[in-house]
Amino acid sequence: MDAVVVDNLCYKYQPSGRQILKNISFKAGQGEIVAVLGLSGCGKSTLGLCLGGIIPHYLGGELTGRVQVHGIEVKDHNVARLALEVGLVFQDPETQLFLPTVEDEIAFAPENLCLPPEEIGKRVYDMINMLGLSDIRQANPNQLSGGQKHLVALGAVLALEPGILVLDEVMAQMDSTSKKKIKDILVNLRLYGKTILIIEHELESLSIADRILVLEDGALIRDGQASEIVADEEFLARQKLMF
Amino acid sequence: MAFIDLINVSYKYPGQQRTILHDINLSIWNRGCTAVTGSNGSGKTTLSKLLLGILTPVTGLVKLNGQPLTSMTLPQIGRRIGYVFQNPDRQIFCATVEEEISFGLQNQGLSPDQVLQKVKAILDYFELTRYAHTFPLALSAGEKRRLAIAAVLALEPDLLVLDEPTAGLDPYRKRLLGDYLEKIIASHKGVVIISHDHQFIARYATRFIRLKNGQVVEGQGA
Amino acid sequence: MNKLDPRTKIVIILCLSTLAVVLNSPIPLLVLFVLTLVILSTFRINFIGIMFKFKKLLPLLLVMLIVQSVFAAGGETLLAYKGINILTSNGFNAALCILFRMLILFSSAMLIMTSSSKDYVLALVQLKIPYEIAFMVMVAFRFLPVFLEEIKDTLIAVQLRGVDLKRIAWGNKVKFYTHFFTPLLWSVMLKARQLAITMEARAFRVYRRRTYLRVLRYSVLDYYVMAFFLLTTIMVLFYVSLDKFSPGIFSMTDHFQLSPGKPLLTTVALPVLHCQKYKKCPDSCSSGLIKE
Ligand SMILES: Nc1ncnc2c1ncn2[C@@H]1O[C@H](COP(=O)(O)OP(=O)(O)O)[C@@H](O)[C@H]1O
Ligand SMILES: Nc1ncnc2c1ncn2[C@@H]1O[C@H](COP(=O)(O)OP(=O)(O)O)[C@@H](O)[C@H]1O
Ligand SMILES: [Mg+2]
Ligand SMILES: [Mg+2]
Repeated sequence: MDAVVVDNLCYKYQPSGRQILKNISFKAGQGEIVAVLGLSGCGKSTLGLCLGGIIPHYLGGELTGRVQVHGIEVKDHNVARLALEVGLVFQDPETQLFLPTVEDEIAFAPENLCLPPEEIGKRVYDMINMLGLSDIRQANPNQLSGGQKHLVALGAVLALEPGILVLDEVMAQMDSTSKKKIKDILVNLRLYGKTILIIEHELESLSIADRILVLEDGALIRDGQASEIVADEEFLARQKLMF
Repeated sequence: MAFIDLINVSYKYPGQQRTILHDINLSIWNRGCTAVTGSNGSGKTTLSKLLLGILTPVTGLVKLNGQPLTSMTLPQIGRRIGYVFQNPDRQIFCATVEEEISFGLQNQGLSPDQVLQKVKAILDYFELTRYAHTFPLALSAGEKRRLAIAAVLALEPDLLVLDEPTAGLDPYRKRLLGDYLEKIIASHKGVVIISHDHQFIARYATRFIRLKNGQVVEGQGA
Repeated sequence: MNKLDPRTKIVIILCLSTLAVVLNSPIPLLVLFVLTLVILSTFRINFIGIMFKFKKLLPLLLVMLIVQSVFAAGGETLLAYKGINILTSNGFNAALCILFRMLILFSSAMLIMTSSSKDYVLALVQLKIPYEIAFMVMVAFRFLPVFLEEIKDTLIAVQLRGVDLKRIAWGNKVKFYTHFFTPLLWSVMLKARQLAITMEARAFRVYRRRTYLRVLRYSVLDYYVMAFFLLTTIMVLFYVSLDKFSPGIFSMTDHFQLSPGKPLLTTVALPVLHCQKYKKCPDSCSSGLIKE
């Protein structure tokens, strides 16, 4: 069974507005890292929000087509239920942290799962070690720098242990050490059978991807092996995706 | 005397133990492109806010053209230095994209015609024309970043300080931005870029500063 | 002391503020205020800085003083202008009461800050309040400083683009703020929505119950402290209610005439106020502020 199935997805934020996603169809199998590539404003974040059910449950708009995660229809379940399947790290580092300390932030999701305190403690400990947050364990998330905030948000989502991960330009504000760390973690998670969607601009960050989806103005214009697309410099240059 | 002089500047956030910047001496000219790098949390944003007088050093002094920043008001500083926040949301405060860009220009006392012309030119350059009348906070992250940068570039300050300007920008827009910066630098103005984007700064920067353990280290290899 | 359970702290704050509201004359309030400061210092709270912030309220207090004097009947007239009482002993007392009350309320509220807001969520949840509500309260409290910080940054951005907020005329200022009100309101609403999204995207409210990494437990000290504060408060309340019928130290009216403890305190503890406020009115003062 495919972990993510998107079929003929169309979306507008306002019924009278511009079509943001146009007939998007793709599948992602278990244990696959899929990168989404495209100019800014082409609808990458919007696609991510559709997978997590934020669209249509919170943002409304006009959505047609099908989005399934682990076989369940996104439209028919609330965001909290979907969170058990899909972990979403948002693009804006500022507005996704709301607890007094980094530790509380990471504990929040497992607490919602009604896990016993020992298990919660273990997950918090693991995340803090894995992401190297021990120095800022008791820090106030609001006072961290942008890259640190994204690291904490990632930890908070990973603590849910969802089968599917969507990371929206999470590496953009990180230094090269943190970027490398994230890439290692993602490669490792793939071994555990997680399906990962990453949205990034830097081709360098895409080196871990198995597959790349290229969006142009809301339409999926190419879906292929990562190695093949990265090697196709002519195509990338034409799509203005090379620096 | 440089454009901005930091003299023995130390900084620590109120109520915090850790001193973020120790005794920094640094001169910045309104020429060329200076890149500031450093790991997450090394104090780059803090440094940039000190340059603008948004934060005041705990000890030491920041001078703009020889005049202490503490004796100047923010509008006076803003006329010489343009600043783009790391989080563009915080500096977007108008109801439409067009207004956002014209706001600063109107305060410079330009005639409505001139303002209109400049707004149009910059919207075109940064490919924001199709959003001219939309509400800025409903834009995508990359579009907001471009808007924030464009609104400050339009003012043509002597020195531009950009905090992670390439985050959220695609390669094509990075090129647009970089090329614009080159034009600015060619017209004898200065740019300071805080960035993790090695490709970008390697292409455009002429001077390299790295923050490490609260100290500045100069040089490409630093 | 900082290790105390947040629930105990809530009890302390409730006791102190109940007393502050119930007590109605300057001396007991002053005693209570000193007691509050002692409590704060056992919590190692630096209250001096906060007290300085209170300086800004002094003009307001002066206005209160006059208003109370003009409208509150009774008491000794200390200063009169064309037959209107500008300063009376009752007014003076009432103003002092307000000052002490505010000081007590504010400083006892500082106890709140010695626990993290997450602990208050736990406290509320363990007091059997639904966790959704507990989190709502916490998020609201946490959101406020973040939001103020953002407004500060936005105002900086506005000034850097050429508006001198300190110097523009009042008319323009009003225009300016109304101009930015709509985008600001929008941004607050978007933030609130994003917050709700973030919480739900981390499985908030997926089950009716939820567990916690830490659980609050009362220690022996908590029991002692709580018992002490509750008992003292109840005793004082009892005493005050008795006092209503047979006026004594906690008397509600005519403090200076009836309370035996007062002359000492007004002369000892308030000498500064004394010479400042009464110098100018030799006539009324000659008859004496304090009548035995
Ligand atoms: N809340 C919103 N309301 C209306 N339009 C929006 C909203 N969010 C994004 N858009 C528009 O949708 C398009 C796609 O945005 P997004 O998916 O965020 O792009 P990106 O590929 O950069 O992540 C953009 O052109 C943007 O202007
Ligand atoms: N408002 C604040 N209050 C307290 N500490 C802060 C605040 N902002 C940043 N810090 C701390 O200062 C350090 C430097 O932050 P910053 O200058 O944002 O780093 P960066 O180099 O990533 O831009 C960080 O460790 C952060 O925790
Ligand atoms: Mg995006
Ligand atoms: Mg920064």
